[in-house]
Amino acid sequence: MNKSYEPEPGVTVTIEEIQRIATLARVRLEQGEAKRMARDMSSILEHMAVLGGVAPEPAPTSGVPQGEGSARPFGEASDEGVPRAGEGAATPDPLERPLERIAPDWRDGLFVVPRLPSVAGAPGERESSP
Amino acid sequence: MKVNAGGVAESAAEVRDGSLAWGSMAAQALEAHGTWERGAVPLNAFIAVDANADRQRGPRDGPLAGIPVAVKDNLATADFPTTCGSRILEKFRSPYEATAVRRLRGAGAVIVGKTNMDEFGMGSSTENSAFGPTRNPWRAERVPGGSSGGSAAAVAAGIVPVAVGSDTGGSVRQPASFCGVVGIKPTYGRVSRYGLVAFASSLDQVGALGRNVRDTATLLEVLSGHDPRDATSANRPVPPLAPACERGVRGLVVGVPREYFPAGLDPVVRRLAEHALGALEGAGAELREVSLPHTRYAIPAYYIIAPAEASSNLARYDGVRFGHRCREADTTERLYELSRSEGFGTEVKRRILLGTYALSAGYYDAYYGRAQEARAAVAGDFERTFGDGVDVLFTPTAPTPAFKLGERVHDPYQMYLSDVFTVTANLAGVPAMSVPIGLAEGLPVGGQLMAAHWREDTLLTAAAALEAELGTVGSPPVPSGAEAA
Amino acid sequence: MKDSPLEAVIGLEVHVQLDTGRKLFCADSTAFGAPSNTAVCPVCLGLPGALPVLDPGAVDLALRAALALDCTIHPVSVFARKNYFYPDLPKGYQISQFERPLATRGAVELDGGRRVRIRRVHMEEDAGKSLHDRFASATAVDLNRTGTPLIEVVSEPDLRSPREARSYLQLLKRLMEYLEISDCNMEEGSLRVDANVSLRKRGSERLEASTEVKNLNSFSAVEKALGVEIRRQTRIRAEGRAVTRQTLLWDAAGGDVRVMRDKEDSQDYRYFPDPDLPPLVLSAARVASLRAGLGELPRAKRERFRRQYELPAYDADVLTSSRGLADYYEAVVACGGQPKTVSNWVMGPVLETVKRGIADLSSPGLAPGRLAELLVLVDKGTLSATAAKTVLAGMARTGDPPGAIVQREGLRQVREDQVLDRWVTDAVAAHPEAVARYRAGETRLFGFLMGQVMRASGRKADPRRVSQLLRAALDADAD
Repeated sequence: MNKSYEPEPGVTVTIEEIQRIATLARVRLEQGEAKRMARDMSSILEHMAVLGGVAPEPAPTSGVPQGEGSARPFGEASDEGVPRAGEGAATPDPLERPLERIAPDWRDGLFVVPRLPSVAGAPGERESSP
Repeated sequence: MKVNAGGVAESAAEVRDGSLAWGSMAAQALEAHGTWERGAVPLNAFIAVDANADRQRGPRDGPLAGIPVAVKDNLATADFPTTCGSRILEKFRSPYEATAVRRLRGAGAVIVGKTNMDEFGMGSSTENSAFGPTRNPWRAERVPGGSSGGSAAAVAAGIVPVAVGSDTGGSVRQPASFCGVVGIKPTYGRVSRYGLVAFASSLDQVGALGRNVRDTATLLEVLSGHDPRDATSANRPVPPLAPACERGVRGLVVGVPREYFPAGLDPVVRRLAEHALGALEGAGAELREVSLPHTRYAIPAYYIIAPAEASSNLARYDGVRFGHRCREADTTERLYELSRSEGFGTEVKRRILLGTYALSAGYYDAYYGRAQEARAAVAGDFERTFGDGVDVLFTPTAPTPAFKLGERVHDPYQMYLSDVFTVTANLAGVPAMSVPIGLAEGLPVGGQLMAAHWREDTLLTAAAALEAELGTVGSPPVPSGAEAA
Repeated sequence: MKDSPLEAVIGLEVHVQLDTGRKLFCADSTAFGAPSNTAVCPVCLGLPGALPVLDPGAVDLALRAALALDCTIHPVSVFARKNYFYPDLPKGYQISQFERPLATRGAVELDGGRRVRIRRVHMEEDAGKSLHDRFASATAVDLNRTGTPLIEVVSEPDLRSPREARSYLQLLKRLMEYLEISDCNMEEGSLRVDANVSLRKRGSERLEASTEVKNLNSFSAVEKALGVEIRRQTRIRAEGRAVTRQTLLWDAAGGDVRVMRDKEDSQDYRYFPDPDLPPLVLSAARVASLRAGLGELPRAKRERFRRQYELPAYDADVLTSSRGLADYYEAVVACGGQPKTVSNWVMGPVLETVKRGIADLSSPGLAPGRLAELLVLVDKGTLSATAAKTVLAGMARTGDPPGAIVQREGLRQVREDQVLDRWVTDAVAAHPEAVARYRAGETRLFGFLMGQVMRASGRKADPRRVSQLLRAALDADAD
């Protein structure tokens, strides 16, 4: 978000850029596929250039459209005895099917994946901690 | 006996008072499904069917007692697969059920099967399904529309009287238009999204399809209502919808937005839309030309916001906890890339890349930021129009009748333009519906109605009036051999 | 560092687990130690179609923390998605607050009076756990922790030494514990610390390239790791090289930091507002009522205890470490206890009893009135300190009032001279050799003789009076 580009006609997405995006999205593209995607994306983004002409209106603060709950103060009782705004369900939704039935690899109550390459030893160490 | 001939409310009443056997309508639905699958070109409306649906049990006192219902395959069900039309969820069975599905069961509905769809809802033709395209029951070489093509086709083919779909940019209304049935996308927040597999969370809404306006209203009423498991679900009462269908349009102000009748509009579609407007006027409505000037930003805004949200929503399909996993991967990074590349189809990959691009550093403001501004401008158009005394807007649902299979798959942007009249309602969160307004060379055409937030009742009033004035478009011919069934 | 022309610039990012007992966006329990993958549901597993719903209880605790840190509370804050792939991150994104956090611009004051500014306080969900040593060449994933409610408290780079960083953390921990926001158990991960460190010329305002040190899971780890990292950066600068932006990992066993990744290839998290969650809108009335509910904060309370009860700093510190303990202390004093005696007893035998699990502060046997009664007996000399401890144990165990226990067990202190005299005379008579040596100048034998008298009395004799009588007896007979 440091640099900002204007959407403009004639924008072209390079194959290198497509591959960078594909890596971010963890999608593997063969060379031919990447080429086609670059071409499709360039053509789609060209149509998006019109967005540059929107007279700036205050954009919404969140992704949620103006429905219910978005404007009401959170966690406060409202009239008519309805639950507090934003109040969720009081109990977790139970699982009707054990996890071992949906997990691709399940051992001793754990999901299992191939060992992470970057792990160097410290317990609980993560590439990206929250 | 005609397959499921009565109205849904009447048939359910007969089941409740015992004059109609519980499983009889479900049995007819299974039979009709078999007929369509045995035709020269199978309809392929369903990804999964419960061959014993007529023996399912449920409460007999509900408003949908014994009514066979088809459910789009992106709603979580515990007893059917939930594939979303994707290879990545081919063998996935959800450990929990969607709120909409629980409401159906609670109302006594019999879920006969899960319907085909464009993968994760991404498409306008149901051709992007990992399980093959669904055909348009009116003409097999045409698409049924999408992404709820399976649900629309199942209703049009007379397999079920009503079906559940979902609508992110027109996915209920456009297939309803192509298949000659009624389809409604309620106000964002009216129906719980809990268990609706997310495509674009701020736009997705569960919708109802039906043979006629009344049946559709009956289903919508069952689906609607607050759900504490969905923070975007509205905590407000659902008014009874049946009376709205009887109200009549006398004095109703019908806005006709000029941006929805562009010069290049298919002339048959234009003629049928003008005819429908005449019918509304004849029934006592007041027509008023209006302008929604930001409409031209809708498609670009939609095709930034929806893929952006999708790119994040679809990150969970990583092969770690459920769904397809590439067995050859020897590292977790390769596991991600290979599982996702094998599991997702081309259009899904295209939109994931588009959305990732729009959110990535350096492009966020230019694309996602601008798209949000455009979205606010589109919503502002509706707010002004409804604030100025317009009760309901009337437009064509889609620019053309159903197109041919394969016709648009190679030009993504042409495909995206199928949604040009429908995405605005999703961007603004307002309710919208499609109702048949006639046939163009044997293919159905739908008209779209849009109203202010929470005014599904107004939509139904106008839709019922159109249906009464124009009559139905009838049913497509049943494949040979069906008469004997 | 003291004489160096460079000074350390340290900022801390502290994750604090909110003590709501449940997850932030679903109702699963967050109790520590459940069997793997059992405290999970469709929401925290990230199953297709599941949706998050914010827990109002977590918002309350986060607000209390932000208010206690003197932050500006924002009437509208927004949850965003931080997108990255990791096996223990089920949705492929973490729900956090990014551009619009709950609160900003707070401050705390360290004991020496130094002010540390708080940049922001925001809410977020925790990830699961990846276990790398469970299976050969595989990583196992436990999602019980996924969705645990956290706040992240980010300080400005206002800390100037590892010691100062430590006192800031202690203050933060104390505040969170006192307000019952978190148990701050570092071993269980309910308080986690990352530190940003750089060096600059003393007095300069410039911010230099900093490194981030992770995996600091104890206060001493924080202090040690910062010391090591400051020395490392000092060395680099002395060699005329530039410090590069890096993420480092503290290796407690090796006592060193090592590079985890270069910041330059920092990930592109593609933050955007989470469309599943409406903005968090807080009314002024709600914030005001939470502010009022905070009451007196530990720092103010400690100052008042020192002033009002004339307590040493140490006592005031311990007694105000939790709201419950402070309230208890004040109640005992209000029932007539002498403030310093009460302090000694509360910090000592009472807390000991509680720690052993024999009783807690709300048990009837430890009721403030009862304890005050007991301590009055001590102050009057009716009970010896030793006897009083026995009585206290009895009170805690049985719930009986002190008077009854003293009566029952005959613990009353003996102070009558005629009784004491007999014990003293007996002891002097029984140990002629010791008496002789004492009189010859071996004064340390006084203690031995004193012990004989006390033993003879069954420890009931008033030791002060015994000492007087014994000294008199020994000195008198010497003439």
